[in-house]
Amino acid sequence: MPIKGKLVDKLLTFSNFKSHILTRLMMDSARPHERPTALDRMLAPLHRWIWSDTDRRVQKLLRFSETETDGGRDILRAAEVTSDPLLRRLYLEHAIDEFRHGVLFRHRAAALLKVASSGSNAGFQGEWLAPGGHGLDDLQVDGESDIDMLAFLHLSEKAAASRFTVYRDVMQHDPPTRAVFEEILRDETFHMNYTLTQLARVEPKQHRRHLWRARLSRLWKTYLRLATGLAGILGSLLLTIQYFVLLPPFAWLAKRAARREPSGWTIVAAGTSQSLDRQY
Amino acid sequence: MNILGISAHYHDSAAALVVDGVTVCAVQEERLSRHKGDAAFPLLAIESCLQHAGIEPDELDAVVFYERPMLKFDRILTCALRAFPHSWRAFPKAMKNSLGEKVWMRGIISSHLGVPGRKVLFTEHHQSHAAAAFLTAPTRRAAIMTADAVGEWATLSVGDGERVANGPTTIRRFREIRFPHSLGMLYSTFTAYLGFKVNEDEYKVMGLAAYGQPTLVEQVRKLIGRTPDGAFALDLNYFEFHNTAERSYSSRFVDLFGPPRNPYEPIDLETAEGQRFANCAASVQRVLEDTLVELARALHQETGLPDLCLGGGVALNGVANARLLAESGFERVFVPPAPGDAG
Repeated sequence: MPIKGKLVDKLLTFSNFKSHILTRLMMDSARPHERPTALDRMLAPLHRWIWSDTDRRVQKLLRFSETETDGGRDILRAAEVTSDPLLRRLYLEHAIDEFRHGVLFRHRAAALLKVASSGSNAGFQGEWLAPGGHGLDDLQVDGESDIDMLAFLHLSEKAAASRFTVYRDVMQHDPPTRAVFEEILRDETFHMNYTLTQLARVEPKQHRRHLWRARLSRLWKTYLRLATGLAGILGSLLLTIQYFVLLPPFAWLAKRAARREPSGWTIVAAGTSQSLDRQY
Repeated sequence: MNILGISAHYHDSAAALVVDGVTVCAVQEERLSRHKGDAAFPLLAIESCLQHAGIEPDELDAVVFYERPMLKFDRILTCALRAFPHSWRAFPKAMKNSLGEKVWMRGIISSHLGVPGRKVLFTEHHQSHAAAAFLTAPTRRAAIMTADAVGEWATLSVGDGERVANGPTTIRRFREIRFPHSLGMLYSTFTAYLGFKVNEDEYKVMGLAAYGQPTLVEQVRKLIGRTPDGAFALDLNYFEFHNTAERSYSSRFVDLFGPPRNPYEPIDLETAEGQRFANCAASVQRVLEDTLVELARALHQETGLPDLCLGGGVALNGVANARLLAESGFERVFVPPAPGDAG
């Protein structure tokens, strides 16, 4: 068996072992599965359409894999910097989960790639409508307090659990992918619950205030993402119009100049690199 | 004199601080941000360098950016025009990318560090590579060769450097090969074809080459021909990197070498397909090495110098560097610790 395969197996086995260790913790913080938010429920038909195409599914699963792995790396860093021994242990377990999710998504995408028509980018993927796992956006793990980190993680996991519930539900036509979401969803629910329990432990009096602050911060980031996305679409549209309307004569000139350009060495004239003020 | 050097907004952002001619600190942003190949403005790296030397930004005499942004923009725009109408998808992306941030470097650096704009200086990309290669080498006089995917226009340049005791240091570039004819792009195209990440996984192609035989050298030579003046030129019919950002090789390339590798499938050398990919890697590696050796041999004859300083991302290819040392005629070859854009 290739070394990589062994590593994956070890991760998966360790994860099973870990689930026994954490049963108590899970019981302490047990809450039912998160229900999808009204918005996610409303967007279910769109999610169904996005996930219906195999190429698109592959691309999204690969992106989710990256997001989960990146998130895992950040949570691992959080485990390194926290001074709370219980949180360190939980963050470590959490990070291992995220890495395993990355592996699960990647394996499923690789399996789908074998039957997909192409491995190419599948055009519209509704990235801002159907985002992946939590990722840690631009959170500076080293500079965050345990309280802010827990509040942020709780909301991220809650949102991820809500979306993954919808993704699982719209994946009836693809049982293996549905099973992947089902498995990951269990972990996300646990992550969502333990972060809330720990937040209440670390900051018993004001944990709700911190949650609200984290909520507002997420809302602001969502607005920024949407606004940037919209600006990007408008910008692309305007630039494409300019491309076809303004550029053709210049393109003709550029092509003519390119034909006259000699191949091979170009002599660097003495003094061209002398001025350090010039940007051209 | 305190000079801060900055590389940013492409890949492997980094900062280096030189105090009175001595490099006191150099660090890549990814080491501090924990984002592989981080291309963001290297604030953490700058902070780390300044902290290490115990100086404040207003004590800097100059901040030097590693390339000329407007010259690079000139190349991007010209290439988009030359590829009209095939570049229509890449054009908005390239313009947003350049006009959104990259061409405003003086203002960005000035506002981030709080230094006046007149202190922000620019040098050509290959001049930066040449300086990093020569100024870190323990030699007074050497030939210099820099090669990468692309800077502003140059993709490979040759020249020399001289350091005079108690006098000025000069770095001259004699001539250069310009985009789209690029050894780095040739290698990166095979990196993408073999299912690896461009600007990151080229080392995997080099590693894979050791498991294959250069049986496809003739095919690779169809992609890169020598010009009468001793340089080289790519046959652009086999490439698409100059037209689009989506794929670097054309369907003609696929006709020549077969279907590309699925990035998520392991390479099994026991299978014919796995061996084909290894042979592809071995063949492009062989052609890269041969071309570099021939260029370096000509440079050695021209300069008559015993030392060669190598810079640019292509100098990360340790196997090619070993052949350069053995076969180019130079007695010593110096490669800086980070010859790529981080250096």
